[in-house]
Amino acid sequence: MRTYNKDLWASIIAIGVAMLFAIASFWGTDAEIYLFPRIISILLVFLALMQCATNFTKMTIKDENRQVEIAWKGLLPGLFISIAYVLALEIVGFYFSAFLAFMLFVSIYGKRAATDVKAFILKFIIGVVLISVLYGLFWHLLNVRTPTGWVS
Amino acid sequence: MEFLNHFDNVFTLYHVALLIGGTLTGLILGALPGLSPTMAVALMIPFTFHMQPDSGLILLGAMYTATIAGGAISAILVNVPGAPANIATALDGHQLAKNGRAAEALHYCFTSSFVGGILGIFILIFFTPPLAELALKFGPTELFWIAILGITIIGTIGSNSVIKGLLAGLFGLALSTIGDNPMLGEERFVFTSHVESGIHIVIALIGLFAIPQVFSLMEETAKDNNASIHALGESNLVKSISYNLTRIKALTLGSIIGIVVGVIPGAGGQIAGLVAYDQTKKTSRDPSKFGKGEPDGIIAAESANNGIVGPSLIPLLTLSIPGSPTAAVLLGGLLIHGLFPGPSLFTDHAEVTWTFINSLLVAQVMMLVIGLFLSQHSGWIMKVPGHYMAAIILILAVFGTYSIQSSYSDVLIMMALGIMMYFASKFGFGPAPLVLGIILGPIAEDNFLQAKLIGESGDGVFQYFTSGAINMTLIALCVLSIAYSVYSGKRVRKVE
Repeated sequence: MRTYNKDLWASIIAIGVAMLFAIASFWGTDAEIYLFPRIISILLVFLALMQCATNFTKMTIKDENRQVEIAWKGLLPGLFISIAYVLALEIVGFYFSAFLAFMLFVSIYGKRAATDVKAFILKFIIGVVLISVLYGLFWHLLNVRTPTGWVS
Repeated sequence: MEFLNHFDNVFTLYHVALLIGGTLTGLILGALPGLSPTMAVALMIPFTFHMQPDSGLILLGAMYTATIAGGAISAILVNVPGAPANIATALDGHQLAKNGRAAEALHYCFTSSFVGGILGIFILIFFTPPLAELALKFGPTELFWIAILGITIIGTIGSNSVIKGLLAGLFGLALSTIGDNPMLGEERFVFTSHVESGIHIVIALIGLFAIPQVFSLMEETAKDNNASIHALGESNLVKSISYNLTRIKALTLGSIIGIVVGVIPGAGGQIAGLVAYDQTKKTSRDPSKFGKGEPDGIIAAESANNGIVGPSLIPLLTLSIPGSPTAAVLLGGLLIHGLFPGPSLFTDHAEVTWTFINSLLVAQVMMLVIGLFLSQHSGWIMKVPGHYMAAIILILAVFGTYSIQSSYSDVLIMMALGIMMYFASKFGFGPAPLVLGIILGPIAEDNFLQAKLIGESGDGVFQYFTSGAINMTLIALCVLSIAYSVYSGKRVRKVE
């Protein structure tokens, strides 16, 4: 678990996003087409600077509310599975990748040991039921044709 | 009494089934600790995309009504409010559960939610059409200022930090400009082919509300926070309801506070519940009973937080200013079905609008009946493990997003927005102003460019944007909402 200064990071994010948007709005663009984005970018930069100034004035104040924790150890496996799942959708197929993602999620975050056969069978059954429900709902009821990937 | 002419469309077999399904799903999702009502409604929007507007809105309305009431189940049984609106409910509700009276507490909760909810919907029915007429007087400048006011209010009053709230709202406006310029049709910020057609409202809603909850649930699961669930205990349903209805003062105070707070854009159910609880405690003959399992505490809090459901839709349906983050998501639902807030809702789309409003009344009855039934069997809902919920929400979010335009790019955008929002929310940026920026961005830009053209051919752009009583009032309200938030923020810090 790592602790971060909420306002400091908020200032960094705000300045970064505001500058990026301002550069994209003003750099080699047509004033007429980009008029509205340019106005927004000016306001964004102004507010981002205000956020920095607010953070600067509070820097010496010790306040627990200004600290935020991120449990990377708990978060990273899930974040990795989610990204891999989304990237693999078209290649592996929507339904098969969803089943794999589900199994990985419940196996990694579940309390029972991975070698527990009974627990694995239960997870497997829940996964199959979930994907079957999704298949019936999206493929047949809503007529959504998702990429089939390997399965086809 | 025009609303009475549109009830037949609510009572078709299909719509009643949708109402039952929406209410049941809403109650269950609302009861799951860690899932917000806003996320539940956002996740449901893709399903309504394939329905007729009236059917889709009936489903969303039922979910909206039920999720708030459902949040009380986890507040009472495990002391973890299902939504911020249920914080006040947990104060006395969980104490009653600890004393073995959880079922009784749940009966109070659903009965008072029903009373507050019904009164709130009647306020919506009688006040919305005349207020919508006011919007007829709005030209491009007024509509531009309305959009800015919406973002200002939800970014300031609804956020913990005024600057962060406004930054999030502006960033939402910035995201809404990706894609074609509305006047000239030229592409802007299309740095990859994935964003060629801009960011679809529903994709933004799902990404910003559902994905951060997936990651939060993972974090929580890893921390292994196990809350103990209290047994429901025995309770006589008829006795509980009769007792509840005799608590006139708590019911009236809660409902009135809910209605008043509901009309104020950005205030939300959390404020309504806490204010109602506080006022009922202050006016009670024995305030010392509060916090120790006093039924009046639950009755006031629940009638207030459900009392906001109807009134929070008044500024939404008349001026497109949502009264709460969930109402902001509902605004997205209205827009994707081609319904734009204002007088046309009650003229061109009267059938759909009245069907939607009437369905909210019926949804309150469904919420009462299904809620009371569920309260006898609600213990199992709390036992659903967080990692299962996270996996199911992620998969539903992906499928829901893809189903809207059958586009893989949408899934990538949704995921990118979700990951960004998760980290941004850690540093104090809320999703509600960002979403509202994306929703109201096109309205603001369209009207800004139109007004600019009119201004240039007349007395000048600045003059056109700042002339007239309505424009000045709207500008004053924008400034006031920022000033009020700065002032109240300073006051809170002083107290701390």
